[in-house]
Amino acid sequence: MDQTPSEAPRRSRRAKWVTGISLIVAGIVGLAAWAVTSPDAVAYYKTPSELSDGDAVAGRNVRVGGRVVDGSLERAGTHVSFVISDGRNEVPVTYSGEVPDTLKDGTDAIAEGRIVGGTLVAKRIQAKCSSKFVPAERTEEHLGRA
Amino acid sequence: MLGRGLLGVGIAFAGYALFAAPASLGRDRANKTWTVARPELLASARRALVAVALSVGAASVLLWYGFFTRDFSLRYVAANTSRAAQPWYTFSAFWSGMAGSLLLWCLVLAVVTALFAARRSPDREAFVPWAIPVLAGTQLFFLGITTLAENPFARVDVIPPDGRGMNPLLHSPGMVIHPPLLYAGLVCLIVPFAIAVSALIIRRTDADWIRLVRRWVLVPWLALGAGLVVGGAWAYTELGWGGYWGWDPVENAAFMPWLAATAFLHSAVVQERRGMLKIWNVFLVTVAAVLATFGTFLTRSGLLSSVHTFAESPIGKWFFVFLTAQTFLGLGLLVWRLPHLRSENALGSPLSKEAAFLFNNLVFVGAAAVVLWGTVLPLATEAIGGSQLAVGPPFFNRVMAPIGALLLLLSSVGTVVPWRRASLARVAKRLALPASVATAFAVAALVVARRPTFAGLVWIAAWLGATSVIEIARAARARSRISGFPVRAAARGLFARNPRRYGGYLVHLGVAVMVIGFAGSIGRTQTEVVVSPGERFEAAGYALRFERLERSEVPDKEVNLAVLELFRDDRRIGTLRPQLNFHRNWEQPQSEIAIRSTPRADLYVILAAVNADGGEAVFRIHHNPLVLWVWIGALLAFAGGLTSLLAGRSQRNQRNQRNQQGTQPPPRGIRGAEPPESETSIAIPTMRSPPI
Repeated sequence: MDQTPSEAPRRSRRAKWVTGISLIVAGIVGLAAWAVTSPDAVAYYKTPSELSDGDAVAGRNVRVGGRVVDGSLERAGTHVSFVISDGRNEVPVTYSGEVPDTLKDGTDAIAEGRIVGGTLVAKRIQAKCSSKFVPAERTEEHLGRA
Repeated sequence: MLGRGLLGVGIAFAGYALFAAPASLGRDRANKTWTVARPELLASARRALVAVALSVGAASVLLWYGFFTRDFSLRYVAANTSRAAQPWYTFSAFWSGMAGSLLLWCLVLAVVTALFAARRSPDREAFVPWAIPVLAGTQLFFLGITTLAENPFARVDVIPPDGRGMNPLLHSPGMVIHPPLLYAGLVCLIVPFAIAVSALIIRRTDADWIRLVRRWVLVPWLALGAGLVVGGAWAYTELGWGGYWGWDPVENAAFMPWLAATAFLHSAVVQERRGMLKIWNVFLVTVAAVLATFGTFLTRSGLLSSVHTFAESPIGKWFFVFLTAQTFLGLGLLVWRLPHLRSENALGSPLSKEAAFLFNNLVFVGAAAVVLWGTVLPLATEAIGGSQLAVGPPFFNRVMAPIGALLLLLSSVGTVVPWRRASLARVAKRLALPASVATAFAVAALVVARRPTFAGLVWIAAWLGATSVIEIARAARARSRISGFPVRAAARGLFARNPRRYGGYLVHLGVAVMVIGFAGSIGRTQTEVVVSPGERFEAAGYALRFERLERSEVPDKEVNLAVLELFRDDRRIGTLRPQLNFHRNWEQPQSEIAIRSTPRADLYVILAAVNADGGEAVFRIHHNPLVLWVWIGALLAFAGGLTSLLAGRSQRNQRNQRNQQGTQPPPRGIRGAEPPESETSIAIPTMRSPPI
């Protein structure tokens, strides 16, 4: 500063800065807290086994991952149904909407939605392609999206 | 074997450079600084880095050669291409898998390092000796994992007659340029980090430092931004879910360093003009580089699926070590040099340009923090509690929409508010005209769309757009008045004289246009129809007639092509040809989407299913308002960034010439030495030389 401001205005200026910065930080934190508590923001990852072990999932958004059981995938128009398995237990899934091209029998898939009467009614489906040469990996290119 | 050998040669040279560059320095005890005591050693380190680029380049050419000659004895080639592949997709198959992606990474890193270190340039000479070890160390890491863990030159035991080919989803022009752009962006962020480390060691975080770093951040910022947009366009045209951004972890991985880089590009201006925010700037450069490494790590280590696959993945652990080392190096040096990083000026008034920039920085970093939190939440909860918890797009949209709106508002204010302090009345006066333009836009949006949220977003975006245009116009008029040049020539001169400022305004305008495009997603609709050939139906304000389904067989796939005639007001206005193909090698269907793009909205038609006997077909039809403006805005923003980068070159050359003639411009950022912030300061140089 060309002229040294006296102590009092400098202090009030600092208070303004502190207020401004705190407002922004608090605003972002508050926003995130609000968004995370709003419905459907959070999904709980469950394996088919955890679901059949009776984990409480009623009314909750869950993500179930596993392998699409061979021969279980049925496409009727844009409605698909299939069964996801983790090797021990299975969960039937129904879905209506954009089906990722990579969703097919034997691939790994993740379905997100709610459990209704033992069936996962999915709102989003992700599939990763099984690869014959490369070990399974999830990259951008391999990711289908619902 | 040859390919791996070439990578080994690269490792040897990088290892040499790592030690040779610091070894060339001698301690000047009197001044407590380092000076180059053995110039020949430094020169050899530079040549070693060129040798790294050449050997990694040769290895890459070798892999490309394998692809083009269909050398299926290479496992990576067999897995990613087939005899039927077209030349472009043979070329891009290079990076369609893990090993090749890492090799591309090494290639970009080697070339960028050579470009930075090999050429002697007065403005970076001081930083080179300590930047080299950081760059060479990074090279060693990436070359190491490419050679040891993910060897792209591994052979197969039994050579297959044909390769499997690339995943059909990657058969898109977007996939040819999207990964290299993203990699270039992520890789280049290591250079500003190296410069920052070097600056902290030699205690030179001055005006020269910030100018150099800013340029090296601008390049990756542009590349990342372009990469994100191209990736969005690829998703939009190829994946068939009707959108272009889904808050996918791999998207977030590139988005976070972009946010940090954007914050830095703004705070760098504050340091240059006012000598403030030095600590913050070093911090941002470190954060951007760490986030870039983390992004690579996230997409390339299998970390995304689960913590467990990450632990099993061979490169995950090494990435973790590297990331930790990078973080500690950056932050440790920062703390060590804190006393040296004092501001030259105290914080001014909260209503000033520096304040607007600082607040905008906080919001950008906050946004990056929120995205990071949302991205790593599944991993963190799994590591702590065993069960994963994830947040999806609804969370990100709810948080990021208000944050984006706040950023736009801050940008409008930041554009017009002067440095140091401002009177509220004057700022309000300069914002009044753009605000009324924005109100006109918002009212029009409300009348047409009848959605208050949409109108509100349009208002905010139009405010920034109008502010940017009006500021450019004002400055051009003032310049033309003083210099006597016509307004258009004066405007061109404006961009040539102060490319960073006016290029920046152009970026703001582009972002504003993009946001209007984003806001259009509020009015999205989709319908699904099941129709037989010859049948007419209505969708998204159009009448369509499903003419016929054409089926054909080509070597690698079975093609179903639907022909739809499009009518509006009983007038035929076009034909749409969506496809649903079945790839035999991949046992996978793939949709080719038909899009009719107009400034108002995109008509986006997916052939979702066909009846086996060729009768009925299922179409999913999206009506996506204003999507075209996302791409137009992105092009504008890219043009602005490019202006600011390239037009700055001529200015820099002039400055270097001036420096050599011994007429130093007044140092910036020193108390009382700033040029006045007004139109006249822009116009004065014109009187000496005509605008370019």
